Amino acid sequence: MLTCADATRLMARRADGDRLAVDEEARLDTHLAGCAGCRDALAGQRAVADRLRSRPPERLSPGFHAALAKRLDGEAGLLGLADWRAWTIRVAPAAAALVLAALYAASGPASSAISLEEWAVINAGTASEASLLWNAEVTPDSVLQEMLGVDTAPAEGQDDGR
Amino acid sequence: MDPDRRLVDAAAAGDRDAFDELVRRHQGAIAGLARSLTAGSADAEDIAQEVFVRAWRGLRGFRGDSAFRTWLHQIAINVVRSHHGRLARLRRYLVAPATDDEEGMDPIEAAPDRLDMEEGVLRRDAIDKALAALPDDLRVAVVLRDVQGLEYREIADVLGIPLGTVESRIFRGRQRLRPLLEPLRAKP
Repeated sequence: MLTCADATRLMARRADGDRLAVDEEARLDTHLAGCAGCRDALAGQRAVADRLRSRPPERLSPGFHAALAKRLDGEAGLLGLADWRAWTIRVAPAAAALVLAALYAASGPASSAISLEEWAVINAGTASEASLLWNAEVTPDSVLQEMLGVDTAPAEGQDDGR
Repeated sequence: MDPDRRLVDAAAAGDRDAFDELVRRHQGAIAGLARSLTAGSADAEDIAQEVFVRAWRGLRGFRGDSAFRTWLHQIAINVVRSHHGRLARLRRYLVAPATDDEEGMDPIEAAPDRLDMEEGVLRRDAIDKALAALPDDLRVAVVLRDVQGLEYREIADVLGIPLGTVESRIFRGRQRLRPLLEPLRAKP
């Protein structure tokens, strides 16, 4: 025999039209037939559920999607940091510059009292090659001239053809 | 089979269009849940946004043990609880305690007199205020069932409690709501 306390557990689902186990259905029906209080409680469960289900659906403000999209775009940027392949390629040039600077600092003027230009000479090969790195007036022609080891400047006193 | 599975897989692989579609499918329910659990608070849309942002962040780790809808509701319940916690802390510092009169106010009567507003909005406000009168555990269970339409088993999964506890909370929550919602005309 079902008590009122036992019946409450089943009544919420009965009110929702959920199918109970066959023996539960029979026991609840027997209890309800003899218990006015539980019949009233069951009616109350249905009434409340009906009213709650009549709650109108939410209407979102017009700016909801744009605001959410903006936040998600920001998240995409943050999550992008976790993609090491993408950001290592982006920072590679800066990293290379830092490595060169570190190498210079380690073996440069502080330790051997040479200038940056001298250090570049040591590490670049010849003074003429290195000078290209530091000469503000270097042009593509002068680079070619250095590489070929020829002097393309007009000889002194040579007619320019006129 | 989770009806959102295909979109979830695509979104987890970084497809924003797929995630946007998931948002479209669930935004109404999640915003409604947020508003129901925060007494119609104006923060409901912010909460809903936070839910989707957290879902986007966590999607790669979502294993699909439960339906996407269930998982999303779990996130929403956590966000709402965090929101309540923040508000409670703020109130402790900034706001004077409510008077006895305010605490005992009938939530339906407490709804502002806005006869010019459409009936649907008034009805929603009245329901949200009645729900606000419930203790948190009963309110969440009732809202998930009667407002959100989740199955009993889903609610048990969302809240991590036994099925019998869900049944009991819903029964007790509805009993407490009965006198509060009686003035509200039943919809045909």
